[in-house]
Amino acid sequence: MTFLLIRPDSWNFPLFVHVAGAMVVTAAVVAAIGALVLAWRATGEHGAALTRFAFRTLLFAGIPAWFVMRIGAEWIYSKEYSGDNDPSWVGIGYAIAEPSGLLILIATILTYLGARRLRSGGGGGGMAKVATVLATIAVAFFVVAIWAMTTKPS
Amino acid sequence: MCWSASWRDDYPQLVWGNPSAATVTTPALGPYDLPRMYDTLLFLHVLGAFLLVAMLGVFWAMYLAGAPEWIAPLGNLAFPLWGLGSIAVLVFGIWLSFDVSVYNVYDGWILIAIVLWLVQGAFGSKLSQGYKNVASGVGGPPALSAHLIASGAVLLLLIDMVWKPGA
Repeated sequence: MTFLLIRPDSWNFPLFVHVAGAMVVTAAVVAAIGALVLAWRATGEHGAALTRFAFRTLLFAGIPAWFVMRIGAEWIYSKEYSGDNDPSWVGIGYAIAEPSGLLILIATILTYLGARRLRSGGGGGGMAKVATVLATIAVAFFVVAIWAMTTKPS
Repeated sequence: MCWSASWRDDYPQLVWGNPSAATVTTPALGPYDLPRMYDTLLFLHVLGAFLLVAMLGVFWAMYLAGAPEWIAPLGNLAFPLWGLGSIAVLVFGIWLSFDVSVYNVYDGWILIAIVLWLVQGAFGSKLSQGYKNVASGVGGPPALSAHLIASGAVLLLLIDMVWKPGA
């Protein structure tokens, strides 16, 4: 069933916080993926710089924005639902939020370790590649979440 | 809060109010039924908005990094994707305004959105073209003001979409 919802005005700000956080976390992860993909082909100091750049993007933008998104989600949920009788799209949101946060966290740690090793000339490209894959999976999760939040399946 | 009966004509099975309290049964939907069209348009509209913001994030990241040589190739990626997101937001947004009879393309909040889209389009275009030039090695990064204005316009667009002033 599809619902068209006219929201009470008091729901708008929590929704704004949720969506803005989701947009920024997506932007940060996409930027980090771009840098990491470039790092695959880069050599020497460039590879280390790109990996360090991806690490900082995830740490200073991705992770804080994930928390903003998640806090906004809980805020709007507390206004909209009482905890029982949740529609399935809310469940999809919950099922995606925590794993995507975990993926971003692991990707951040791996890019940190990868950047450190690359800088010291001891390899680390493999870690950056794994981080790229994890961050890409997180973005795929985000697309599923956007689908669930907009189409609101049952 | 306002709505007209014509909305019901478009989507009779849609429900107003708190969905947790709603108890309406609907027939199974076919692949081309109207609610699926509405859902699809909204999904593509929002997906375009996320892509647009993601590319603005790439522009900011490049700017904050000082757009050095090692990150310049990202400009080649951001240029077409920013354009794709930008066009998707506009096309599917206007399509939605035609698809749903309670929305009109001349509603105040939609006109505001179009103006803001034009502003972000003008300055986002400067950014995407500028970083494409950086990637080609023919120029420095665009000005901070272009980043701020494009991002501010997108932020106001999001506020406009959430609050829908005058709707």
